[in-house]
Amino acid sequence: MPKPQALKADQVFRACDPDALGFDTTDDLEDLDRIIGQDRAIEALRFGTGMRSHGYNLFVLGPNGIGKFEVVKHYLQDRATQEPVPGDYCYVHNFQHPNEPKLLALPGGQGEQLRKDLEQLVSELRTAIPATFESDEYQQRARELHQELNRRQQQSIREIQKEADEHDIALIQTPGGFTFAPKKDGEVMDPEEFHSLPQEERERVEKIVEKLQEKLQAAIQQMPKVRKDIQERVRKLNEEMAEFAVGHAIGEFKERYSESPAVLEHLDAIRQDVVENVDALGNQSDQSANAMEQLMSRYRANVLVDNSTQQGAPVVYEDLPTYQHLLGRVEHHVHQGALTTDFRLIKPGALHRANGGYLILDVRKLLMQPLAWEGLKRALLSRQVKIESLEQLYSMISTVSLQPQPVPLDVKVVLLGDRLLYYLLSAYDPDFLDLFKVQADFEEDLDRDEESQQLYARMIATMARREGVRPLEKTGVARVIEHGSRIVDDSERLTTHNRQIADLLSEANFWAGDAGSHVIDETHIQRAIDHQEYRASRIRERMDRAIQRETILIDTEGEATAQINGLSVMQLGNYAFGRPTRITATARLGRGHMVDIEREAKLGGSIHSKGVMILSNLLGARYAQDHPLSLNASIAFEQSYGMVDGDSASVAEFCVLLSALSDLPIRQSLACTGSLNQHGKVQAVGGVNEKIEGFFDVCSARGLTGEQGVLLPASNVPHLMLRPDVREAVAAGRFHIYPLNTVDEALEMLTGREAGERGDEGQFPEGSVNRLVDDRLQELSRLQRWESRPERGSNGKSETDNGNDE
Amino acid sequence: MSDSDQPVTQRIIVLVSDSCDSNAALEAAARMAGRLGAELQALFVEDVNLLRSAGLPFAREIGLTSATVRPMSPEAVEQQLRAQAERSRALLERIAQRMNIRSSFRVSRGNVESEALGSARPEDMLIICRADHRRRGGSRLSDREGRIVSAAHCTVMLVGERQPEENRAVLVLYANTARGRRSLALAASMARDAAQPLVLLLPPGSEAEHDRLAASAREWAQTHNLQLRFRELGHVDAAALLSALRQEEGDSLVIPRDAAALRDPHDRLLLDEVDTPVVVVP
Repeated sequence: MPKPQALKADQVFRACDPDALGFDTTDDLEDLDRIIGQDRAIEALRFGTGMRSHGYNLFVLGPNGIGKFEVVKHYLQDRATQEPVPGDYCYVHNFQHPNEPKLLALPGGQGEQLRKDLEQLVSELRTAIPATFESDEYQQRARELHQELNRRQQQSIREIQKEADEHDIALIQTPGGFTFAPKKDGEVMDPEEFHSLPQEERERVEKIVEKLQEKLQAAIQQMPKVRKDIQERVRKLNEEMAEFAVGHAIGEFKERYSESPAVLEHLDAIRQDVVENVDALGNQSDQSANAMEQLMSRYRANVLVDNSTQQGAPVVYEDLPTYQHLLGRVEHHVHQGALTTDFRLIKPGALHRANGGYLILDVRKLLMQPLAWEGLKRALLSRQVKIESLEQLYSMISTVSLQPQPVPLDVKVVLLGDRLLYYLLSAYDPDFLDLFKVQADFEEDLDRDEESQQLYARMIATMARREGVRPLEKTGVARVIEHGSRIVDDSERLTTHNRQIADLLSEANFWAGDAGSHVIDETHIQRAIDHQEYRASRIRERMDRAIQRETILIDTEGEATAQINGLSVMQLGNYAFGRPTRITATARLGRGHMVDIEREAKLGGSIHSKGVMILSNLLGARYAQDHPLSLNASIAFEQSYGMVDGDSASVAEFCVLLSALSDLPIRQSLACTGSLNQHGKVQAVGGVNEKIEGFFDVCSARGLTGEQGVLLPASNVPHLMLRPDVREAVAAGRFHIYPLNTVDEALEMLTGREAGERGDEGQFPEGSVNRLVDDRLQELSRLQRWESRPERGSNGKSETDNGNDE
Repeated sequence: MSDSDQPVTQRIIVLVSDSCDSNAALEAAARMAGRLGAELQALFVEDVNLLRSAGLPFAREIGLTSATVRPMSPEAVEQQLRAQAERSRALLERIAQRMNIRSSFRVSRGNVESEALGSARPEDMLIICRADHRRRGGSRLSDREGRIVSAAHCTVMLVGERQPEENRAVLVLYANTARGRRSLALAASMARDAAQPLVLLLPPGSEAEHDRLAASAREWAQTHNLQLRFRELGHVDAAALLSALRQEEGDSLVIPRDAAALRDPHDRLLLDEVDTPVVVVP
């Protein structure tokens, strides 16, 4: 079997040729007016926004920082400018049901006009009504009525007084009314004098007084009727005058709203209300000034949605999507310790402002706000926005509140969120897929070829201008493109993660400024990348130090049996780094039990366990097809104290197990990664760049011997985008990267012996790795049979078996 | 016009009776006393006719509003009058103390009209309140106010229940007669003390007559360092004066007793209907 050939420097990194980009600096490039690599998502946006049917709202999926918001916002804004401006909505007082403010729908821009008109009306009424009631005409007519009242009231009294005078009786005012008394010489008669009158005279006077009293009583009893009659006439007069004042004021702008029957109806209601409340409106005393203002305030309009300055359909992003911010709220005033409200305190929510257009929401923020998600769904399902007081709904507060008429809703909601939330909502919320029928899934990377590199360069140029950073020189752009591949760990792909690229540009701009350069070149980009890594590498350096001081045992030269260098990746936040891990194995007589020490210690994940099971079965299938696998083996990640998962160590685990069985030493100058299938094929794994660089760093710190290197799956070669120092060592032949297709290639590289294939007789070649393993397993099988003879004991236990296989 | 036209009001006599709002009358009187630097005397008259009628064996009071008939006794009426007098005295003391003016309270028994007229000297100002006809169901039985206004030797001010407001104008019906000039002088002294605008109401006449009247008033105003405003009237009846009061938002109206608006016995608008104080200069 030919040995794997070490990769050349150009195979471990795909460089971007700056000269092939065709420009000097990004100033030479035009802005990119489209989004690259997101065709599927853009098509979904186009479809979702074009579908006007119910429920075709959008959910834009993708990780944070990929630029979903910018893409969606720009797309929607472009589209919205082609769409009509939606109408305005106003709330006005409902004269029939005061706690249910009335909604008026008006053509765009007319809401504000109506508000101004009604303000003008109030202003006119404030002067016109008192002026009408101050007019000489009104005063004259009111005075006439008042005089008539006096005349009619006094007439009856005068008649009684006249009759009393005829009988020489005086009508005298008392504190509470009237009394009658006989007169003498124009003065009331003294009581003693009255007593001295003859009996007959006294009786006569008393009779007259009694009669007069009865008449006076009857006259006083008639007075309320007279007053009522006059008051009714005064009321009619007031109404007539009010009708004149308000009719004149309203008539002026009624024509403007001739095509809005609801507005005309409201104007009629105002006129009726003015007439009914004319007493309060016409009264100019200070006390009634407040009452008048309160009445007048009901004639105003609250413009809930004003689209007078809107160009096209609205695109609204609500960054704090609370229930109230979405659906609107009714505010309250505190007045003398009590909470009061009216239609003017109805405040719009994002749904009102976006009505007729688009509303963008971050689904994670939305779900974190109590009741906001349910509120949004209810609005979308019912296709109307109903403002309800949460405080009242949940009995947190008991005060007068309003139930405004609901606003008809025609909005396209675009939710932005990561994939997990989309899948969770799809699974657990039965309404979700009915309301959000369109998913726009953002790609995280795109093909890297000549054309896409050119577009990527323009995207970088656009981004640089938008971020306000220095222009990039072509070498800088090339380095960003290369880093774009490194971010996605693939030399044939480029990242679409805009925020990372934008951050890199900003930081490189800082370093360019630090260096006094007016452009950003590759050194500034590289410095930004290095500094990002430096800032995040405290833990990595600490582990490297532990390896150098041999606190963590890693051999990078020589040979050792049953010991191999595996490679693992540690993820800390958004920073990942690789490090070698010593994997050891033991093998002894047993009943085919493979102990994964990581799993037993509950430090191994299920994928790791799966890898161990596969290699266990590969072992059995390859070497023990016709006899039992009489082996107890264990595999451990030495000095690993955290969770281990993934199957990328299965090639290394298999090799170290065979080393333990065959007693063949393994080259410690090599590290190995790759997953294994049941037929011994090596399969791709993740994080190869970090793993190689991790081992390289350990070797490099000790001094490269020229023997060191890494074995990795051949299918991972396109993913290599290694650091410059690693590339240099590879080019100089001081560090090697070997691609593997089968586990036998790994065995040969690690042991320096032929792996061996079964010959026609089913035997592996003498001296090969596989032969030694096969021989050892057959020997163990024989030992097992011998140990299991009946005379050795009924329980079948051997002396070497300590019961681990029980 | 000589300085002798300038009125010197030495005493304000306010008539406190059972048929009006003592509070409003006392407030108005105290304010006027303060303005003119005069002494304030409140006069409470126990109506002898009322006391006599209460002593009659068949004396009954017929309720003004309810029309019910209640028995009357002299003791009860005397008690009522004393209580009312005490209330008025206490009220006067409070107001005088608050406004820092000299005051006295006098109770007399007799005919209200004669007592009021008898106690006022020509240099006094007599303040009487209009019987509130609206409060009394619109019934006005006697023309006590009219008779006092006609017979008084001193200036009489009729006040209603309306509380005065700051910075409103004092209106005066002006005629180039001795009485007219006295009216102007009194109005000027009222306006100057309270820093109020002074509006002269000019009776209808030719342009030349108006000019003459205005010139004489201006000349007088200049010597007294006063700002005047003129308003020409179409008529001098009560309705025209009321209209002017309303439009100028007047605080009070000063009018000579011989003005036509007061002479017509059937036109009682100025005496009965206005809430604004009306000052009648004899």
